[in-house]
Amino acid sequence: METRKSGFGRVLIFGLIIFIFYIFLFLIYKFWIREEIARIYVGQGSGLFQSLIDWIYPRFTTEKARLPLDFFMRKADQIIFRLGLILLFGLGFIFLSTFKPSLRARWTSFWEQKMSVKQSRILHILLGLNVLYITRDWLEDLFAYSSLTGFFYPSFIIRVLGWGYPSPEILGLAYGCMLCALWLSYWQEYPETYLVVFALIFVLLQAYLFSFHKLDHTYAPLNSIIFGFPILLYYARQATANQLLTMPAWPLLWMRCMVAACYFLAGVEKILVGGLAWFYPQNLAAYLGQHPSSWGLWIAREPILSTTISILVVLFEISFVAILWFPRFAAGFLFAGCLFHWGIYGVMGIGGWLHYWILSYFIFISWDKIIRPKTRLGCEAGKPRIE
Amino acid sequence: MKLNKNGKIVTQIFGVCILLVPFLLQSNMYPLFYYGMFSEVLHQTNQQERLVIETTNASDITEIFLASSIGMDEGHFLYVVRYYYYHNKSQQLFSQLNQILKKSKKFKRWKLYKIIEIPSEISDTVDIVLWKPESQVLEEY
Repeated sequence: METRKSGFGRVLIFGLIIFIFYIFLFLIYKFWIREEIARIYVGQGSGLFQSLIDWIYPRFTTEKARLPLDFFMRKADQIIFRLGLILLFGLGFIFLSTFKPSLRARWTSFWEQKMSVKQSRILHILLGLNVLYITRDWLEDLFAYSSLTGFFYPSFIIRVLGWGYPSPEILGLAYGCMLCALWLSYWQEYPETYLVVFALIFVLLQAYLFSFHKLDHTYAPLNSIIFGFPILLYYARQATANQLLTMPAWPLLWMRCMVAACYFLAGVEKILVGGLAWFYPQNLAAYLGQHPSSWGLWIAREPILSTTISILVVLFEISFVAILWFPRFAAGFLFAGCLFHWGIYGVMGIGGWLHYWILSYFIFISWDKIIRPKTRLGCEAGKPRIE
Repeated sequence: MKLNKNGKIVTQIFGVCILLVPFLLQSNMYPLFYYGMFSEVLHQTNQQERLVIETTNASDITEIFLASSIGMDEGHFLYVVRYYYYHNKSQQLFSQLNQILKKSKKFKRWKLYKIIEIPSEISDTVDIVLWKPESQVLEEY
């Protein structure tokens, strides 16, 4: 009882410190930063602040020519609001995990789950096929950009590294090394090492593809998967060395969380940025008008249908995270995801039937339960004899 | 299984950070992605801006410049044009395009039109930038 009381006191003091810190930040923002933004907008900002804005939000100069000051103020207000939201959720999480042992136990048991080594092997193969398909035209694009280096505008990571656009020879070599590292990850003793090399080159080449004024989210889920894969392979190797059939599943769960978060955050953004107006039929109609198609224009003329679709889109995006807690219904979530991307493609012409976000769904499928031949140890994969 | 204890916590924190940083700043910081695509509210009555590039060759034939002629997607090219135009770097844009096309085509005049389109109204050209490669002079009117 005494421990619980002292724990409560600690959390309360911590919460109070966070609250005071937030109020302090809020006042700085309200009385200094806001005015500084207004000055930058009219081209009278201080050098340091201007550099900071250029670094964080490089499109500011481009956008301010066509958007009113109010737009940027709302964006800035959102930063301080979002910070408050993050701190509130963070504190809520700490509070609940301290005083709700059942919640903490559920959290722990979620991350303590096991998976079969066989599942990791299948996922590894599918990752390779996925990468081969997705990167099939990268080299062609990268070579094409070689003749457009006048428009080179380094993406964030390249700006931090301070690198220029490489020669076609270097690009070809990097692409070759990337595929080679992926290939070696299947045959060598330490697959995770090769996959780290592969992941680094994969991210870097993508950074160059995004260094010509346009970044798209096509590869976002796959990036998250690739960050977590070396850890998955590390556990698979350890389990194999110890003749275990199961291994910790948390790297896979982490990847699933990251992919689900892509959808969740896209949904949250629509609510935070667009608010209630995002669900007005005029909004969807305007988007459909920007990407016209016969189906899209028909939907745009039906206000009730437009609002229904808008609500369904946000509902789907926000509820996709539930796939983490209800893997039994994964097929339903994934099918809804396919319908979502196919719908966008059919109505707006964005993406494709084999959308790259759909390709990332392979990590949500329990392949070892679908493919269940008897192992040489005489038990079914996924139902280990040795723990 | 040494990685299990600390690795799990570090990876979880790393995951939260890479999601929260762009969420907080509302900006893509590749390899960190901001998922704000399609979140802005659009109004059909809003005026739409168009940036169009026009070229004139030695035979005085005038054509709309197509992004495909430099191997770029039309939508992507618009990002590039908007960047140079709003940073007052139109001359640099024309010069780069001229340089890229030097071997295949020669133009004596480059023009960039900023057109404002308001639904159900006649489009209005609000700005024209002219550049002649020979004189290297940029005119705006």
